[in-house]
Amino acid sequence: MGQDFMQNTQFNRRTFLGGAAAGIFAAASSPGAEIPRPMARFPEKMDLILLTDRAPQLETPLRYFQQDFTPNDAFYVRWHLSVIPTSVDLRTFRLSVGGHVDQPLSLSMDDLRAKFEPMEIVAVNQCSGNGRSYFEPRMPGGQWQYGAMGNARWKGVRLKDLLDKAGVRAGAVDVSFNGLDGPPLPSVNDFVKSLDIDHARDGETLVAYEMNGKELPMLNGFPLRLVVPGWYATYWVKALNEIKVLPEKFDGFWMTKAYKIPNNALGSETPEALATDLIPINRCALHSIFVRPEPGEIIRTGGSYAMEGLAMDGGVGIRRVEVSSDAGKNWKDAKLDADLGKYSWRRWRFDWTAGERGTYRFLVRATNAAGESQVEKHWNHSGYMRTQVEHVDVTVA
Amino acid sequence: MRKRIAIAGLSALLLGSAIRAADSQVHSIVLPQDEPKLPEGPGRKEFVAQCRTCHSSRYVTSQPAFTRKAWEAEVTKMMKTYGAPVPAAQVSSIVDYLVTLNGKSK
Repeated sequence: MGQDFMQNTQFNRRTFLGGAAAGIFAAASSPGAEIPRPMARFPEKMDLILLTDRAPQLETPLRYFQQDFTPNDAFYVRWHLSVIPTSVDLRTFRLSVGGHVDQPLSLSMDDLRAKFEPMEIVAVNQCSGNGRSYFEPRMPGGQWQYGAMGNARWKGVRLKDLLDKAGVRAGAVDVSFNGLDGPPLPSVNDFVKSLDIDHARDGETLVAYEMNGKELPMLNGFPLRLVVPGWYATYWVKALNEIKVLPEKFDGFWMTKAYKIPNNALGSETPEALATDLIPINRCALHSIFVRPEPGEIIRTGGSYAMEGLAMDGGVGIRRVEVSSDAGKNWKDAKLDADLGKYSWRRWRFDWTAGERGTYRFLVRATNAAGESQVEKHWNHSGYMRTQVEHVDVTVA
Repeated sequence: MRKRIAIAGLSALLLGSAIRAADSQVHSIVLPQDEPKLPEGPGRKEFVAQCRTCHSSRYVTSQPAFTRKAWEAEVTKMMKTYGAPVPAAQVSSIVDYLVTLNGKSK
């Protein structure tokens, strides 16, 4: 069925290209709407929204967010380089911990499970570019709607425990993380990320061997993934097999050139005045979205409609979520679901009695425990850290 | 209906665990080949030769339509920032094809 759908979409795409050439779609402006979003089924996955196939980038459909934890087989997928691991032999797989340490380690999966205390944490894993397709003006990059994230219970060993076992030497500055993926050409930089030594030793950063009580799917980083609670997923290195302690600042491409944001609180700039002072992206921004209704949904007049959605931030914790049914003139509190931890997303619900027939614009905004609230407009040229107040337009009929 | 789903789910579960149990030490997947067909057009040959070495052509077709200037900037970024060794003489043909594939006038 997925195959048929894809062929249909390809056909539509050709039709669209013909239309674009004739100028028919030149004025189309609804964000994201004009781009085909076929479904595809990859190994260990349900049908997900196909952004790209090589390297794989697969988005989670919104309906999977009507539960606390995102199922592993519905969890989004995002690789950078096209040479990705498709087979891992646990008899030979080893995680190395080396560099500026007293005693370099080479650990099997059995070592990790048997010799280190397990730790669990609930945390949202969110792509830096989640929601990119909603920015105006548009920018190149993965055209994600809101499905480049997921909430999971991660289980593994504390990075701190690994570093302590290896014995970090005095003068350590950064720790770098490399996985089994690799560049398709020697001139392309391998995907390696870093954290500063204090962050790496904070006791909350994990090397995870399970998500939601099961092994990680291959496409989500089997057998090990770095879990950096509260930080964007670019740091959550997949198929992690090399940890290196450095006595100097890490200067790899994926820290110094890619994943940079304007050096201000929200990572914002304008198309007219692009920022020149850039820093590596880091903690997740405060954000809230609608899960139900979905854009363009038709709601029956007179009935009660159970809206729901998600709110999250970089680890302060969500205190309040408000919904407006009149494009922002009036706001009412949504009900918050149970708090699953400060790095989890917080689900919210709002029961709305559908009014008269017509079109409605709903808005949602969140406030965190530090009293921070969402801004109305936010933009940067990479489409990172989406944080602005979101809307959904529905028709009551 | 519900019963049938439950049975299907159970057999899928049994099948899955059987595969895993038989070879629990080696974990493998096979990635699907799923690239879109590319229409004919000037620059297609250069695009196929230079761009698809590293990534699927969906990296183009899954984008919004961009102006020629924006596509030029993308090719430059691929070369200068990401390290794609594209011969300078082929750049303008590649941009021609990108504009054909997913361009807009302004």
